Amino acid sequence: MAGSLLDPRLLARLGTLQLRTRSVVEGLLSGLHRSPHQGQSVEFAEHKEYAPGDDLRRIDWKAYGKFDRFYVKQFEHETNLRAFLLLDASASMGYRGPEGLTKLEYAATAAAALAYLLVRQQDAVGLVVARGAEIQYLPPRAHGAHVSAVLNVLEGLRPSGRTDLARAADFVAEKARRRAAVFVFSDLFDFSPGALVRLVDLRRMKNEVSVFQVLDPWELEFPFEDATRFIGLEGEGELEVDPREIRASYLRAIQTLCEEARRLCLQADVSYELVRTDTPLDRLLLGHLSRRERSARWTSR
Amino acid sequence: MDVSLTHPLLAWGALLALLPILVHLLQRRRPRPHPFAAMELVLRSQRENVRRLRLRRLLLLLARTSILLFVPLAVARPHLAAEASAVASPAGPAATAIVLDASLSMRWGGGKLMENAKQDARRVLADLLPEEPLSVIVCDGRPPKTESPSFDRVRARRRIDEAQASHLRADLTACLAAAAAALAESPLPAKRIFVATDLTANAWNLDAPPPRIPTEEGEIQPEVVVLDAARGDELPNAAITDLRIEPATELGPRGHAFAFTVHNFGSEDLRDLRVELWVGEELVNRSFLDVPAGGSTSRRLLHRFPAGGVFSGEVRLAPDELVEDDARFFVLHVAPDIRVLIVNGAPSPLRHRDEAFFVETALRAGGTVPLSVRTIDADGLPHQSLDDVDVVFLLNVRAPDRPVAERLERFVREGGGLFFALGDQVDADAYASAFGELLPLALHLPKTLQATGDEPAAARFADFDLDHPVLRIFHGPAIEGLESTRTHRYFLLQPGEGARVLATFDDGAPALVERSIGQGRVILFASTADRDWSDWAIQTSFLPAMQQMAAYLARTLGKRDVLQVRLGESAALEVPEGARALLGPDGREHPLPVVEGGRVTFTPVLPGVHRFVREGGAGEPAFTTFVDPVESDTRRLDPRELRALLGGNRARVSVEAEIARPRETPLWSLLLFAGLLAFLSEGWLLRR
Repeated sequence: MAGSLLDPRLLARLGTLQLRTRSVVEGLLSGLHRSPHQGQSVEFAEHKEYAPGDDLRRIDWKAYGKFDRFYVKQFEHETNLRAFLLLDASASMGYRGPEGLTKLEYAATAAAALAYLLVRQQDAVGLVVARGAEIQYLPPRAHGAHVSAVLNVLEGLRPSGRTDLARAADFVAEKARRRAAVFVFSDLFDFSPGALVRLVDLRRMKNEVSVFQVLDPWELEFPFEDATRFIGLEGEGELEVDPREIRASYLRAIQTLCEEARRLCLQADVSYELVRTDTPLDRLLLGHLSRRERSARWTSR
Repeated sequence: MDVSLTHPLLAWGALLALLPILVHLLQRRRPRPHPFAAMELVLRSQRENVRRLRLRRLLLLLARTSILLFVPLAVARPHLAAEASAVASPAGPAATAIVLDASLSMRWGGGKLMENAKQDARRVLADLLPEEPLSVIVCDGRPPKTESPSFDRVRARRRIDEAQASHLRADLTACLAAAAAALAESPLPAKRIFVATDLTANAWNLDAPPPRIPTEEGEIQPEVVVLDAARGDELPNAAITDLRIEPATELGPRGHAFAFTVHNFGSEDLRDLRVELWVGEELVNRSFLDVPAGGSTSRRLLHRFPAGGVFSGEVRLAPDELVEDDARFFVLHVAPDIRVLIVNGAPSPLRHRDEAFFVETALRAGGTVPLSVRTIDADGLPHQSLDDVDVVFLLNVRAPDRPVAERLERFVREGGGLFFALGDQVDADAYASAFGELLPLALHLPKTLQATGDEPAAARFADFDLDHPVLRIFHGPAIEGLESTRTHRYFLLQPGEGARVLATFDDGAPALVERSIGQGRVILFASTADRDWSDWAIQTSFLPAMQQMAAYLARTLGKRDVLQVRLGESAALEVPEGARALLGPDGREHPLPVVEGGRVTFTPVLPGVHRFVREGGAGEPAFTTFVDPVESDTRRLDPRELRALLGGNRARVSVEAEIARPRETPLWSLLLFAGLLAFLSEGWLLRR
């Protein structure tokens, strides 16, 4: 039942991202294991001037001795993991075939589900949305309300601008000052030299990087038959062509693109996954999380 | 060179070739827009394949267009057609006739023209559609054999192959009419006549209307295509157009002049053209002459025959491209020496009073007739042998004894000649008693004319039989020499049968009579051969008359003129006894029909000497033939003139360049092959 609900074609009929995310997460939870991270701790975060209603147990009496004013200690939970969801919201991610979700909708749904799951196990989740030169950022938080903020951002996403993976990678590298998990959702249609290299370089900064290359089946299979006027989504222009004439060449090119991405990721110890937008999301996330769990056990030994 | 279509309507299917282009254009105009993310990859792929794709697209378009163009065109059965081979020109099948000019002029160039014409005819035959009937008419100067158009190609091919140029003059206008008549028997509405000819003008009747063919819808004018066997070339030719053989008195007896005319039908003057006179196998005389272009030159070649006899030979030109008219054959009877015995019935020591003086002088004077004359007195006649005598002249001789007369009669019956001239020594009764039947007409009484007034009484010759060999030479002004003769005494002759009157006196009494007896001949002059009763002996006509008389009585006169027949005409022949056939110049025998009166009509077809054939082999010459000088005129018609003659737009004249091209080449198989190739190519391109 859950599997059928998680079919992207069905998810596409659900109006909002929240609904889609809930469907995905509820499906996931039935088979999800517990968090691999054990023993959460509480760390002092800051002082706050006492106000009526605050918990008296948290008044810092030492501070009262120094400043003669009541301050309340505020603590934050020390998260097991700081995760960044890097979402490519360039115009090319707005593509979809005759049916199903756009690549961006698919990626946003997957990211939202992932955010929910991570927060649920006390991991802090941040969101980086790259739209050309524009970057939208939500810093990592581990409390439940943060998920709503993430969902709100994802819900309002509209694809635009050119894909600029290098810029997004640089942004994440700057924000992730210490070890973090980075989940990249993109079609990787950034053909500028070194863009993908900059992305996988996040791994060198001790980050755990997972790349989801999200592609529509029509991009992978190029099943066009009739003469078509292709219009570039990122301003590449237009081209009238008989698709049958270039199919073989195109398929070779897209395969080369994917293989090159896979090769680079493997070389940099980056998890890479080619995701078709007709792949059920539970299968995608379960598969990925299972691999992460195995990987964590392996590294903890 | 034209491209013709057997089924022109089907060729409209070639418009289908526009379909790929239209489809291509329509597709270009209505591509579906599709926003696409991996545009960069599409662009790369397009850039990578742009040249190959453009070429492939072009080849595909070409292949598809070719398929739709070639296949309908192939179904329309196109073929390459030379202009001359106008088989495809009428719409639909046409009843066809081929008129093959086989006249003498087609022998020009050693038969090259004829071969060209036959080759053209074969091409026409090969180009005919199966549903087109054909009639082949060989126009060789004889009445054309017409046959209904048929589909028997083997027979038509055989007729063409077996056609040979004749030596006759052909009338192509008549042959065209015959072809039109043959085509009238075909139910096909379209009619077409091919004429393979050398375009010589003499073969056409320029005043005749174009050929017309009666049909149920009325008369139609067939299409006429003239195929020029001469391939546009001129046909220069020189020919002997006339030959006359005359006695040449300046050479003495048996001297002959061969007067001939050479015509130059070419456009360039002929210099030092050699002409030879051959007698048998011997070259006896020759000459060189210049003949202007389009003009003629006459010349005489002389020759004296050493002895009498029958001679054949030819006057021969240096051979040119048409050799058949470069020679004229002749057969000539040259008289042998005629041995004449003059029996003088009234000799006199005064020569001008001597009875035989004038006759002897005339016979000894020389001339065209070789004569050997001996004169004896009448008393010597009983002792004179007649074995070595051809002709006996009895001049005013008293009637001999019966044995002498019988000897004379035997002499005549065995082929001798006897001439009687009368006078005062002659007694009618005694002559009747002695000579009897030997006299052409029995003598009656001598008649003496009385003088009236100032004019002495005299009779003149009248009613001449100028067809008789003796008098034939007096045609024209020469007759005056006879008419001026005055005779004042002569014997009246009794009427009788079997005698031929050569001349009479102006009172109607016979003056010269002739009769054949046995193998011999007898002529009687009713007056004297000296001046006693007549002044003929001193007239200009006397000498030739006596010589002709001697020659005729010796049976040598009249044999000189062997009949000369122009080819294409019929010869009326007097068939000698024992002749059973005619031997032609080619050695073939032609049986002679048995007819009453001994005369037959024969139409020769070959130039040369024709002889009678007897049981023992070839006999005397019957006649000689010569080609029609008109046919020697090889000047050609202007094609435009011929077109106008044959009906203007309905006629066409083809020259070499058009004929020499390869004949119609079927293109449909090539197109079909090309269409198949295009189809396979299209499939191959699509799979790539």
